Amino acid sequence: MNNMQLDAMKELANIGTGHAANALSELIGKRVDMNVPKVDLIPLEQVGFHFGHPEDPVCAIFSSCESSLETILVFIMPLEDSEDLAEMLLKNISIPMKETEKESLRESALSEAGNIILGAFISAMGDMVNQKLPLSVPHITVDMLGAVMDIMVAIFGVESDTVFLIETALSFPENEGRLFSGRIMLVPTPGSLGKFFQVLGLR
Amino acid sequence: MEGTSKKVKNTLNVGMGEIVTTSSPNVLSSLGLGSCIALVLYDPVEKIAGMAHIMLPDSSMRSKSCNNTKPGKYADNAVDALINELDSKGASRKRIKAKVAGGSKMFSFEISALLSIGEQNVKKVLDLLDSHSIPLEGCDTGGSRGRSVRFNILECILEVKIIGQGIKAI
Repeated sequence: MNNMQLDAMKELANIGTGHAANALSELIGKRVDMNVPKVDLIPLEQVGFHFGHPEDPVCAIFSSCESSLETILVFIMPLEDSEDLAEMLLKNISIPMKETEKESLRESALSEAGNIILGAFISAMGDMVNQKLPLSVPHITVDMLGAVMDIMVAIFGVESDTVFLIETALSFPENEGRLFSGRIMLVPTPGSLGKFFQVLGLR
Repeated sequence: MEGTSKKVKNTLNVGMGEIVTTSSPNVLSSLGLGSCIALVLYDPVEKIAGMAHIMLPDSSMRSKSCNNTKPGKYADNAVDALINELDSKGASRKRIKAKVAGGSKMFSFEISALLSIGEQNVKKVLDLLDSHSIPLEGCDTGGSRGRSVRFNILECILEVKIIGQGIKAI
């Protein structure tokens, strides 16, 4: 992979992130900040520690894009940040509920938020490359960071001992002094990476 | 990496695709396993053990363009490499036993390459142990939750931690 290809992927992700940040901002009615996407090449054995501690509890919303540009996408946030986000999403609902009902409502709200964020991200990328990039139904899980990461990187194992992923962060600082941060990670399957460069005219 | 003559207890972490062998009183750990598997082979008499952090079932899946491969990445390579390493450290092949954890299904996938990779990992590892006639002394696999494991060589106990379910010893 050369620098031009890396820059092109970063630019794609940058546009995707802008749309994702807007989508999240509309959803919660707050200003959302984004950082410049990073393209990471991570040795497999370091994957568990690259984004924190592998045992950190996280909430992850996962989706995949089944097209010629096959890609795995995940919106991942620390567990306590996901609780804050769920609170914001549901603050206007005042129907009395049992705790189990609340829990499942929180889960579907987060899942839907993830879907909207990832959907905005991937469709903006699709516009850039002039392709429809459909997203699968989202799946949500609360588990250890390492466990969430390892399934995303397993597909890369057959190609190399390094993982290629694009990472970008969304945050909003005006949440009563606590910083919310969520990450979008994009992992193109090894076969589709070449196709990305092809449609970008870099091959 | 290996604690040979030191008597201080160290915890050695085994990263994805790695193999680490050591002896008592050291502890081997693998943190945040999803579809991956922690395979422990140990000689309970010599108190020598090795752990592999396996990602994928079979090295025949390897793409031709990938020429460097970590020894613990594929189940088939990992079992052979672990046996050899333990052997060279003075473990008795006849006494080697196994404990296995991991291989969960974190999400329901639609990408075919990833479909049930955890399940395939478990099946392959258990088959390999069987064909090498290595007795399986403990096993905690499958399900949809991530695991962290720690193997205490002195007591030959594998601690398995799952979020929200505490720690169990196998």
